[in-house]
Amino acid sequence: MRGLLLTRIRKDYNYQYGIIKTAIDWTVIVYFIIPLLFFTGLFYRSLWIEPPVWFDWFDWRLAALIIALSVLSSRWRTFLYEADSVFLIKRRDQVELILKKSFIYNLVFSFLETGIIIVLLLPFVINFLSVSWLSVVALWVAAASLRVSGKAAFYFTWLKFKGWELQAGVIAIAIGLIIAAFPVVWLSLYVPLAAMLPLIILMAILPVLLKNSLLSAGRILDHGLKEREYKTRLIKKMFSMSYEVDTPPRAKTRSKPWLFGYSQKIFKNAGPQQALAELFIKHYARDREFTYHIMRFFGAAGASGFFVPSGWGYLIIVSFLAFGTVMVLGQMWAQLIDQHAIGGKYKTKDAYFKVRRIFNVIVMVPYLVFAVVYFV
Amino acid sequence: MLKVQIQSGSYIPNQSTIQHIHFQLHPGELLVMIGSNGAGKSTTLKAIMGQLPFLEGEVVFQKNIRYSFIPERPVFYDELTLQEHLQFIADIEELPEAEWKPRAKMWLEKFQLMKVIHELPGTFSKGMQQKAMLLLALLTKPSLWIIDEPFMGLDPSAVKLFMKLIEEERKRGAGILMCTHVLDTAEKIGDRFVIIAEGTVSAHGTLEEVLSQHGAADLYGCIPEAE
Repeated sequence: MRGLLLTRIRKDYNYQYGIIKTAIDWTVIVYFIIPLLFFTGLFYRSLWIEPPVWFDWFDWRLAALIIALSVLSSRWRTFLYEADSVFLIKRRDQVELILKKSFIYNLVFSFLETGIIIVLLLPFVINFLSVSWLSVVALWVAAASLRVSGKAAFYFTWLKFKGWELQAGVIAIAIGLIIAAFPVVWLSLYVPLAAMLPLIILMAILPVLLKNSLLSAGRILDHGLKEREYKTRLIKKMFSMSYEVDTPPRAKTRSKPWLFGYSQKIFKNAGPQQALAELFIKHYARDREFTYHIMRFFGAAGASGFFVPSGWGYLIIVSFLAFGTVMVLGQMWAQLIDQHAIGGKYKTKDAYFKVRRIFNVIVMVPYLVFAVVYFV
Repeated sequence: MLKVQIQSGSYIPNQSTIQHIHFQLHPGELLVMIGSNGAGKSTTLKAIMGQLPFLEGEVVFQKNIRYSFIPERPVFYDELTLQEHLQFIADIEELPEAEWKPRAKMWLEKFQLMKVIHELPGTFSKGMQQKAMLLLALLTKPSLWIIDEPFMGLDPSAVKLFMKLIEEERKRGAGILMCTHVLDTAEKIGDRFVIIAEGTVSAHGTLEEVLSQHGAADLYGCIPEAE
């Protein structure tokens, strides 16, 4: 029992490494990863040598926004398994020990993750904002505190709420994090000592605050389910990208959908095209994993409008993102039709191709709008 | 209505899981595919459904045939309710509302699924999922049924209902290809049998033909005792 958490962490890393190894062979390393690292390194070096002109457009708020946005994709880990709800049900003390230790893991890991973000931000913070190294340390503490608090808040919301309350909670926390990031980052940059103290106190009392929720053994199964969802995220992505593999069914914790709860129709007319469009819209409105990817593409296109000074550069980026969006859309369709036991037999239907084309055109609209706004 | 001529098929290149599988299915016929676990039945069905990554040979369906596939593990759209599944199938198959709605209602009542019509089938019990899959297949009145292990998870009354349904479908002229472990039931309802062992056809024909070719021991030998 003593080293259970460490064993599980090691197993988890080996598991993720195994998944990555199946997707990345030497050709990907040679033709993609090494050039990417090389050019990223060159770009990063150039930021140190000569700060780019576009740095002028930003102040400390850029750092705050990047730090806040980075928290949105982070996850709280417990390393509990579903099976623990059976085998450790009488050892609540051990479960709580794992949860307490996992708090330390989340804290340390958040410091490491934010450390990387801070290193990437250093040319901007040191060269451009011209703050002291003490401020950099304070920024690191602030970013890590935000990250841990954000992870804990998201996880708590998931444990506590379901359906629309969960959606509302997640949105509220995301907005709260973005708003909180601005004063926290400003204070850590310009009043570093004063900023660090309350944050360190917050980190110290966080375990007490979370004692009855995140660190409680009362919901072992929920912890296990959430952990499995996180653990298998990479393999699920690979499943969804692989055309020849059946899509594995997903465990559901709710029996009714939260949108169109009484199976209301979207389109009045009935026909193959409407059926396919309705299937797509309803499915991805309720399961927003892919939708988030597309939103990120749109977000990247919008944000790069501020960062990229050259018109040609912007056009290339937008074209690349638009292409990426169409690829993601293709995967989304494949999951519903090409790879699916019900939808599979409709993959050669004309209506399917027509609807795919229509959706491809629709997702191009935001890119066109961004491009027009950029050039105007 | 279905002609299967598989030379070899596999999930991984050059490692064939099934080989030399040849048979035909005619209208109004119930062809039962029997074999022990891992014999290659489900892989053969996957090959027929075009879901096997590596296939040498051909699977020919009658032109414009309406078919339904019921996999061993019921598969649904994770985010669609049972009602939405029915609506989707009806709309994409262009079934007139006056035709499919009463039929759906009748089967929903027979299978006792009416009360869960607005729920996600992924959360149903195994038996309910199997019934829901059958219901979706029934909606289109298919000319060809491809069914993998239909009795798994069904309660006795549902098995009885299913057998009756199969009989009715056969009388209507639908061809049925069915994989099963339940030998005694298969014996009673099957017109012809394909015995699959180690990824290939070891016997093929009516029950008498199979028994005369290979003896009862061979037919029963492909089914583990426990089953």
